[in-house]
Amino acid sequence: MQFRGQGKPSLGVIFDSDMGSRVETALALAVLYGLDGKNECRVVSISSSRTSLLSAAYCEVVGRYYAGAVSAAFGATSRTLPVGLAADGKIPGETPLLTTPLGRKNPDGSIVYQHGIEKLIDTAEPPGLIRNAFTAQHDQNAAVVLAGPPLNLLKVLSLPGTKELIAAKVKYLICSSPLAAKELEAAGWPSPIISVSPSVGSSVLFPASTLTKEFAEFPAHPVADALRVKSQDSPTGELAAVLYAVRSTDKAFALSEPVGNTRQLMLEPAEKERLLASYIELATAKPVVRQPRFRRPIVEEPKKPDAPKAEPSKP
Amino acid sequence: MMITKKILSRRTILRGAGAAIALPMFDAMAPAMNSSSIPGKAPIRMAFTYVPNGLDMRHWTPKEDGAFAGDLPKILKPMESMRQDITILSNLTQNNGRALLDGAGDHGRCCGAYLTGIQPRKSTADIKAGISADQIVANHIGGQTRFPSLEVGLEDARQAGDCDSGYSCAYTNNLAWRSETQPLPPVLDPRAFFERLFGKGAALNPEERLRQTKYRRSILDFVTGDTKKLQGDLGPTDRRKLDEYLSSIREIERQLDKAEKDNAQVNPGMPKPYGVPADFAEHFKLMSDMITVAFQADMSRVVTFLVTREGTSRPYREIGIPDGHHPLTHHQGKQELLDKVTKINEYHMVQFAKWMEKLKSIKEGDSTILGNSMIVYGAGLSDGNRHTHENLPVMIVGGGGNSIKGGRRITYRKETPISNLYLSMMDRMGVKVEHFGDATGRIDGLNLA
Repeated sequence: MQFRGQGKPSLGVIFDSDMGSRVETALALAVLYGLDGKNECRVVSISSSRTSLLSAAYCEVVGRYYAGAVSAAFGATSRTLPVGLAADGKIPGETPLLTTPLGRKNPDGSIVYQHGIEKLIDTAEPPGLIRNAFTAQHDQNAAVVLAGPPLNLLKVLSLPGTKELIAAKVKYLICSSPLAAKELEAAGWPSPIISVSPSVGSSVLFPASTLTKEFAEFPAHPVADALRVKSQDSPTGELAAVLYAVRSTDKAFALSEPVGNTRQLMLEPAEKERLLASYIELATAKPVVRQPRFRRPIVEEPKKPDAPKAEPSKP
Repeated sequence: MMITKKILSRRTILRGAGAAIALPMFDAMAPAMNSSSIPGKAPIRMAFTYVPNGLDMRHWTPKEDGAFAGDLPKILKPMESMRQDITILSNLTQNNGRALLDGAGDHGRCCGAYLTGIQPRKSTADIKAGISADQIVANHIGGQTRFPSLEVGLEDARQAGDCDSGYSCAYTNNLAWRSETQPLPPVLDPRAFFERLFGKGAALNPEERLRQTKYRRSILDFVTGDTKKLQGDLGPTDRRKLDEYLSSIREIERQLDKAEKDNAQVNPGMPKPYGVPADFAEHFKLMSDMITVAFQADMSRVVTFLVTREGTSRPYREIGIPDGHHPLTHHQGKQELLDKVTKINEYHMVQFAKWMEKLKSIKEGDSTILGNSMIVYGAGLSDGNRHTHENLPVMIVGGGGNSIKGGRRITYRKETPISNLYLSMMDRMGVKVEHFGDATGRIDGLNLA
């Protein structure tokens, strides 16, 4: 039953990736939080299929950076969104895209980007986390963005009752990889699937020059630090997946005719420049820190000193 | 080893006019020469003890994972003498207690979802949850005992009305659900519980009741003949065991009589079910003593114990807290209120610890009743101030028939469903279920290894 006393919130986005493989994924997450900051969507689940604590830690760092550790995931708005992390070791390893930003230190030797992920127990198992995120969304008001292999999402499908849940809640799944889209369709993913055409990513490149322009105003930015690792322009297929998830009516995008349950996402060539401007604006957006709305601790005011007693009148 | 003359049936019952008393496990009930040393023969029991309004988690969670080091946290202190028998499970979550688009009503939801793993329907009339974990076990193994399950509580058994923001009182006042629309209300009245356990049928008939009351006779007086006959068939160890068991029943009767006498002198200022003691600790002890006897005599292996109803505003004047429990838990960080919440949490734990000590004191084969049990103690909320449904306070006491290693804290990954624990407990009860509630699998790490 859906509670009728509240208006329908913005789209809930479930973001699953193999964070750490490509800088594009970090940029896509930045775009997602940029959209969240504009209240165009809500980030309701973040997970990684890379079995590396640093992968989860980096996701948390980016989340904290943009959202100030506040999440609207399960109706609560005053706690950190847990990060899902695959523990199966199918995509192992730490990469410079993770170690460089997370290893950055202040002049006093302290870590620049604080996070709370030291052990596996600081993360969540992705299937349960993603399933729980679905349960908290209005019907057809969630989108899933997959930027990497479908390992976690395939496990979600294997949980009893989840296919029905996805069919009810998820508007569409957008996969940055056609192969992943194919695998999920074969496994019976029940919502419409949109697969980002490879040409979408390669025809618009996110410029490394943003490091000296838009990102330059931030003294420390975890996504800029990842981009700085190679300082190269990055493809934008995963950014397109995120942007389409939230702005599906943007004129920059076009869809192919469906093949099975899947359509291909393509770009309108005339819109490339505007699209790039949107990516840059969103990825370099200033963090919008939301205030917890539920029973904030009351800071007790210091007691006022007693009013001076009136002097007894002299006879 | 004492070789008894004959093998007694596990179903042996002492009978008398209007009374029937089941018996604990005697050596004479096991085949001669093997008796109590047979491993795995004792039944495994499971119980869920639920306390409301969350807990003060600062004083619940041991600092480190793994074996307990140093003192236990304040709330767990009363369990100190049994520290090797307890396991604290951290990070377990009940997602279906969360709003999930249904707005306010965390107390109604968290209790309705606690053992069902289902989000209860927000309604005061058209209630719906799911069959609870205890009832799944009762359905499978309940036929082996006189009562498939026992439902016990200490406070409020109203089944109708709105108890939390549109959630029926059926959600806040019950733990066990026989079906998705049929909760099993807890028995609150110790006398009714006693008669359920030991009276012939549900209760003594009015004439027998009157006769018993008039002469203040013990139920044991009605079964004297059978008792004497049985004593002749038992060896010295079993005779001592029988004596202890019957003494514990007599002690419960004395407590009941005392409570009823005390009640006659107390004006509670509110309607009170017959026989319910005015004193909380006394009430807890009476009910838990009877559960102990029920376990001892293998009258039931499945118990739910709703200490007080979820969302209760019960005051605890007996420990100097006149404020309602629920309002106190919305302490908004004020130390004075937090301290009172902690004190209530400790008070509950003191009563629970006494019960656990009793279960541990009763030998059963090579182990004890506690060693052959899994008693979960917990709540459907962790932080009662913010109504959080993750990292619930969960403690499992007992060895589950030498299958659970205690004396430690196990922290699971975030968002691990508490339903996973129930599946693991069902396994130990010999009930193989593929899926339950929102479970994503079984929990690891409970085993002895």
